[in-house]
Amino acid sequence: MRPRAYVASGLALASVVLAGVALAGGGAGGVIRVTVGDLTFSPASITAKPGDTIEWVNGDFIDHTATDEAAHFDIVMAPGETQRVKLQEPGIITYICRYHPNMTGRIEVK
Amino acid sequence: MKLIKAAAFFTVAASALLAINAGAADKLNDAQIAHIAYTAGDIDVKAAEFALTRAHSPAVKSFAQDMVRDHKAVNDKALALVKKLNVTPEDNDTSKALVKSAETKRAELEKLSGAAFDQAYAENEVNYHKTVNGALDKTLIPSASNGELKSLLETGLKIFKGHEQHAEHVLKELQK
Repeated sequence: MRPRAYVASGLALASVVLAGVALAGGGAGGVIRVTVGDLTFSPASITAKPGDTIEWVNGDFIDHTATDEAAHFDIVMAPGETQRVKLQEPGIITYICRYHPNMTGRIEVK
Repeated sequence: MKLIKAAAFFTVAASALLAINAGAADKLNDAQIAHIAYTAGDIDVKAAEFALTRAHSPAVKSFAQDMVRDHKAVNDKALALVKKLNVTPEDNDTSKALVKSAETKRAELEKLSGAAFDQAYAENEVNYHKTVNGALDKTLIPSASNGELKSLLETGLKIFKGHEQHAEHVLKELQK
């Protein structure tokens, strides 16, 4: 099953595709930070729980995205920008940077 | 015929960059290295801007947008660095040869449209990035004296290697 997710914050939101999921704010859950630097997501593979928020911080001087390959989220990060996605349901997400498709990441929600 | 033309272009472009391996590398100073790196990026920005007016495939258009965005960002960073270091980029034979090769290639691309253009542009991007990345790796980075310039070139190389792989992927998709 695909994990449900929505973008909890972010100014440069490109698109969030998740029909039927309420954008309820708040709720329990931790924040897991992923650093985007030197054209890598670090850590590239993470384990999270439903309700957790993934926070990407772009430390590079070029734009990046975190784009779910199943199209549930697609966030754009300008240099220095931080973007977040809240996870809703168990499952596995694989994501890439659309601008640099050799950058890949994986989130296991359980 | 197309292959012969492409081979001729890459021979010229590669010669321009690889000539600096043959004895001239030790004569390159940081001002010249910065000029070569900036020129190589600027050439790709201009090629991408042209591609955006001519490309047919959405994947090629998207790739071209990526090239404009990234190469402009790297060149902006390079300009800020040379200003900080109080270095004036210095034109040189390698930069001149790169520009001349790019003009030749642009003239070829201007004759194409549709799928033929997409294919030729993507092929050019693969080969151009291979050539520039080789020069960065083998010559420009090792020859750079200033640590910050060397570091920026190294970051650039990481970005451009990604471009090379991306271009190869786009080309492969076009050939399906």
